[in-house]
Amino acid sequence: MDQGEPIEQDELLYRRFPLAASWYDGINLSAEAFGPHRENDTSGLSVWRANYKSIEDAARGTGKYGFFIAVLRAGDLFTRQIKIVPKPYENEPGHAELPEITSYNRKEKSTLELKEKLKDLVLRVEGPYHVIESWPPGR
Amino acid sequence: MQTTERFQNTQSSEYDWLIPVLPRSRSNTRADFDSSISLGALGAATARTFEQDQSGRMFVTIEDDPWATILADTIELWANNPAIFEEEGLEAPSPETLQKASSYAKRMKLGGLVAPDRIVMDAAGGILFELENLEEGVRVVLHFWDEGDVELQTFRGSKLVDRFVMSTPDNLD
Repeated sequence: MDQGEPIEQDELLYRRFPLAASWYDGINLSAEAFGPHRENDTSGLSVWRANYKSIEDAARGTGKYGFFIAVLRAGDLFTRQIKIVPKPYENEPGHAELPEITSYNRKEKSTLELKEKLKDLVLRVEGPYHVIESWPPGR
Repeated sequence: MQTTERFQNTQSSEYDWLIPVLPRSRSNTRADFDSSISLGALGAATARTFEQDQSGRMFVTIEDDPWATILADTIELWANNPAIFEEEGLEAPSPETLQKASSYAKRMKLGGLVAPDRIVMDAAGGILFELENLEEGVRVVLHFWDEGDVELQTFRGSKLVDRFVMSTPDNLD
């Protein structure tokens, strides 16, 4: 797989996160929406490039309570010296990663601060998409 | 007076470990910022009232209980519905992490500390108590990491200006 098209300044990026995490209450977004999984984000934090995927498709994850999408503009990240690298894989040409946030450095000061910066750079949060069951369960 | 002593003991020793303002309680991870913001600086709940009964015993009443709501919507919900952690991108907090966060919440409530603005999980099985705008632009996070340590973090804007590991009592229930 090639390294993918370079990411342009005006490209929009989608960060998917599950509604069940309670990271977004309709007004406030928690920086944890940019927190790495303990095992699944070994090479970087996943985002999706809007040039390749609709927001509805980017929000398609495994789960029944639905997903939100935090929308970022690539140029805003570049301005803050936050790296984004194209990381396409089979049938997913629009996948990219933020290599400075990984499973391995999740407790480091630089990572905690970077999550806060990303939260502040979010243009908007959209969704939830693909809701199968209402939240919270049992109510 | 016995009842007063009971009250004073409650304020001065039983919860002191929650108010790590003394330099000796800081860990080596302390940043180069002499923060006046700490868990202790969150202050007591303003709705707290003091009453004495006919025998002179003193009682503390907290009129508003935001803790109850926030705990029901988070930690209790998570503990009773483990299936929610089958959602992509999440890892279930361990029973030990849930218990520790619950115990801290109980002690913080009894100690008269303000409730967090929100309690959230992290993606790795940890839990965070988040408190916003304690001062303008200052955010405090009590982070229960999946590996067991509990850390108090202070952010000014996006900058982490202070962090240290709490000394949790062995007998925390």
